[in-house]
Amino acid sequence: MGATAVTAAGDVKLDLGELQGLLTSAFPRSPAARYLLVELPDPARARAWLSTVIGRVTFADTVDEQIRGLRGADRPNLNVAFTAAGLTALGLTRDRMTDFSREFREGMVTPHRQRVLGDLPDTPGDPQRWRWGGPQNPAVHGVLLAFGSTDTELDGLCGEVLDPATGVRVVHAMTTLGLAGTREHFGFRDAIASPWVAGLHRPRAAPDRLPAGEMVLGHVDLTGRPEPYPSIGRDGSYLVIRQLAQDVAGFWSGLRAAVGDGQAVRWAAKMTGRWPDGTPLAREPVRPIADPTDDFGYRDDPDGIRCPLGAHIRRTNPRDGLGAKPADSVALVNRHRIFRRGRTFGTPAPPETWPAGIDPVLAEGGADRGADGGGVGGAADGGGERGVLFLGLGASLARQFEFVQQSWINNPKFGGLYDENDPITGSAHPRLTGSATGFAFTAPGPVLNDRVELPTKYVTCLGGGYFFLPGRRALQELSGRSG
Amino acid sequence: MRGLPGVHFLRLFVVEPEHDPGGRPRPARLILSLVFDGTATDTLTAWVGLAGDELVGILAHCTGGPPAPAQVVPFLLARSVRPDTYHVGTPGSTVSQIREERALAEAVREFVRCRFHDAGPGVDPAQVRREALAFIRSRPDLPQQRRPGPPIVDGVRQLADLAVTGAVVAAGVGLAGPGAALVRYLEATEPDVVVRQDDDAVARLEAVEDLDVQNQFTMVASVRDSEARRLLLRTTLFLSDGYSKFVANTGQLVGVETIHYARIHQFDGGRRFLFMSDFDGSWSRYLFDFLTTGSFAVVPNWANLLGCPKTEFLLRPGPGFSQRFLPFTRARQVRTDVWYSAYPGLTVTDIGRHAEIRRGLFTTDGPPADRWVRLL
Repeated sequence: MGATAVTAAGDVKLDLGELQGLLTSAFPRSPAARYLLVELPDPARARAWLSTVIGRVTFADTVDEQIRGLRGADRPNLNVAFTAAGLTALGLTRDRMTDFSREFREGMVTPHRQRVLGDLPDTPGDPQRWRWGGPQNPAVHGVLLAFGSTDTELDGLCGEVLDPATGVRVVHAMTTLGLAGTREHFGFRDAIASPWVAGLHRPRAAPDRLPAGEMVLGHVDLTGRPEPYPSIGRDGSYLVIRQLAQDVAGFWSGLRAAVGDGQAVRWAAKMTGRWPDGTPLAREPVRPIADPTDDFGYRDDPDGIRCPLGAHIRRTNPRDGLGAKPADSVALVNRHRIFRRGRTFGTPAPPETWPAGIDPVLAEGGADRGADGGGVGGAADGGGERGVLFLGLGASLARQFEFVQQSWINNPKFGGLYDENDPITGSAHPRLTGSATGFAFTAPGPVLNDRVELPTKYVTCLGGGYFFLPGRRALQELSGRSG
Repeated sequence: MRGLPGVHFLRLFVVEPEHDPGGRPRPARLILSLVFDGTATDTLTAWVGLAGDELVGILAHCTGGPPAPAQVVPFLLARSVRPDTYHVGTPGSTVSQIREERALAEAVREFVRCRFHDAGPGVDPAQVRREALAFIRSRPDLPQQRRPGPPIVDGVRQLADLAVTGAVVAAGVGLAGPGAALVRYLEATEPDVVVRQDDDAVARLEAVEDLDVQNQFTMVASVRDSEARRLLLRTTLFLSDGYSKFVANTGQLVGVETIHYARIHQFDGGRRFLFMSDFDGSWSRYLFDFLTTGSFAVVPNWANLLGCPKTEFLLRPGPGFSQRFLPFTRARQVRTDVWYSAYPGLTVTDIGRHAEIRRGLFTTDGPPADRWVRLL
């Protein structure tokens, strides 16, 4: 099996050969990525197909060798995950499904879960309007996550594993486009904070050290026991995918109209909690200093004078800033962390989008990305759609992703605020925030609280789903091959 | 229902009939819970005045239900019980104060936002507050003075309570050693009953959750079936009640600041346990609070319930406690058929902040001006 075991923090021992590579890496050396949502044929053919795919899947031991060798992959990386319907389509019996978590089995779209996630009926993010994963869309059984050097390379891989003779049908395909400087489309450096997990990462001192069971099923979590899991779940993880469209032109023009061209970047930084270059406001509230650090907290800023209480990164990861006891806050927050593996899609916004004080966003690598890759930024917009393909991994959808979404991002009372939710990814919530479409954002000024009101939200969910990313043994079992 | 004066929260629900662990039948029960200002007689009389015939109709399903509105109040009073443990997150706040302070705070907030929206860093917070006060003086529909203090009699009653609790705790300290040995014996010998939640039942409960920032939770569970456990539960509830009254009496229960009202009753001769809570935020956040910051107040009581995962010395959750605690609690949750809140949309934090805005506006013992303007 070629497993590389990493031992860290005493009793933790993970067999990297059992974990799919996405658990330890976002594949940063693979600039091209494609996510293919598939529908499976009958169980016998689906299992036959899966048994041929396993050999192409990249496991974490291979990723580890790549990292140690400071080299990219010599062939595209492939990972595969399934929805609850997909596991059933593979022939997993009902009694073996019951030990998967309820939220996974029920899926992302139920009336209550829509309230939890902010996908409310009759709002722009209503699942009835989704491109995929919604009640009006074809069933999604699985997702193939392919990462490579070029789109051409991915074409080859996809052709190889999705031969029409297999009966596996692609119901929706999504291609990513990296942006220079690991920025997201609004122009801010992204993907900075990530928890440190024993057994998955090289040892380092970090306040958010987590045991592997917070991210990988079948292993001990912060309670000293594993999260409940089905036997087939061992070494797997739950995977959330959300396709989020960003109205970049609307965001910047709305902000310029509200606060003026000269103040737009400062307010966007307050909303984000970081300056465009990644410098956290908690560290440097006055100006960016090109310090995209993850090593900071909010304990010295209880009123949000440096970093507003409702800023996106403060809501999604409150660090030591919840309540009066920093250590208790960290302990609580650590129970709600996830691994993020997001990538951007769509061409960068055109030059006229950008206010003073922020560099236009450019595509990474330039011209070799094919027709939908878009090449460099600065081209005419052409009504292009852009955004982020959010991927999140964790051992509990309810305790991690859903909790953060409900109790922090979409909570109008977060941190003692009154009637606003996350200014970047919060959902319009007519009943709780008092506005059918728009939103408000409060940031403490020198004396009084400043508040900006914007007419609409600028991030809209286009589709989403809950998946299970199986370990190697589970993939073999699902394919009908014994280990 | 808004016409029902002084009622903070109201709920009405049915506990289904069942058999106790010894096989004896337990009848169905209709439970009405009111959190109110003033006296029970006045509150119930007001309610009968508003909806006497409807109450007669509801109570007709009970054994010996009142035949006419005039008998409703005596019928209910004869069956009313006080909680064994009671926690108040907004101590000293009446319904009318909470409502009028919301109106006051929103008016002040709106005024300051409009009047000072382009104020520079040189603005004087004391000036902001003076102008806000002048504005409020032009609004006779809003409160014009500080909150009236609580009646003296409340303080006297609390002192008397404290004396009684203190005396009982002092008498009980000598029993701590044998008590701990008994607890360990029970924990080691009692069967470990694993309770699973029913997905469909949970979905039905969730159908009425998260419609507002406030949520409610009602739970009915059997106490572990021994005299010793019933005694233990009585003891932990007594201590919890004292803790809520005399220690955690400023709006927080061991670091949890999202509970408006929580109360626990024993019934069926101490064989059953009823928990009711009106709180802010989601069920999952509330329960996670129970497992983290709030575990000290919750675990020693829950540990006496049949199906609750085991503890060590009542206080310390045993291995795997948290993984089983949530499904157990969900499985014992009962549907609250009627739930009413007098002030939806307000959290405990909002209510406290609004009270501070009022105090700072009308008195000099409230927050200083630079802190006061931050409350807006």
